[in-house]
Amino acid sequence: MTDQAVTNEAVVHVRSGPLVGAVLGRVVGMLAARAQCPIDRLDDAILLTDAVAAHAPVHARNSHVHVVVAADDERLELRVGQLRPDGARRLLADGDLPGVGNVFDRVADDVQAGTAADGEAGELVLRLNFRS
Amino acid sequence: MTEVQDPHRTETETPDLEITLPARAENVAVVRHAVGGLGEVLDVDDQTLSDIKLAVTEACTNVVVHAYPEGEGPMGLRASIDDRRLYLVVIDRGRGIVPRPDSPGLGLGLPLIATLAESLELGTGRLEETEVRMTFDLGSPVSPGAFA
Repeated sequence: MTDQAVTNEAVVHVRSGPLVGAVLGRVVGMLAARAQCPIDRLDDAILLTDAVAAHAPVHARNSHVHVVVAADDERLELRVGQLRPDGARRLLADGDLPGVGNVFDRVADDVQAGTAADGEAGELVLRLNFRS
Repeated sequence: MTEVQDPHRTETETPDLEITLPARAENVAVVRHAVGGLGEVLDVDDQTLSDIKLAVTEACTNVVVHAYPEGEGPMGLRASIDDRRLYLVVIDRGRGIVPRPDSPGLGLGLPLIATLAESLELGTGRLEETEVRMTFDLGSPVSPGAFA
């Protein structure tokens, strides 16, 4: 056992369609579980993943959805990249549920809709802390 | 072992699925689970999916055990579907597939993959990655809407 947090990171690039939810949900679930994510937060992580899978394809720059999933002892991060220039903001807006609010804002501890390091593609970053 | 020149290698140039993770033992299960999701979407029968998962598990285990003797590196899976065939490529940037007298395994991994897959090819990618390319016959054509 070590005190140092070890980050595990998966880069998932998947063709838009049914594969996104089926694959991304499994990868997120496995990485979160390996990181000792509490069960309630695991449920939240899958909720975020389902929302990404449902809405990201229409905002992707091409026919694929690109997500970097990173997990350590403290948190899970979903970095939804290769979106259209305004895709991150639009993807975030798609999370609005009538009477509930925005699923991304309500579930994630940190939400950032912006631009990737290349300065062109949109990127939505969702962080979920395992402990409050 | 069956080694064939895969005429459909270009199918993996624009894969339907690509996953890259650190080559750690714990991540073999992640890839296996992701392949399970792929099989679910493709509605692959249980026996075929079991064979595919076992072959991918063996290939990924080889990466974890043999590819990076000096440390850790990436492990990737590319998957492409064409009609009734599934093309899978397990990739690493390690030292390549070389004889290893001190191997901790029994040396059954690649022969097992060759038995499970319709074809198996060991090769090198465009960026000098080590590639284990597998083809699986899914039995019936995948519906056009499975991916779109």
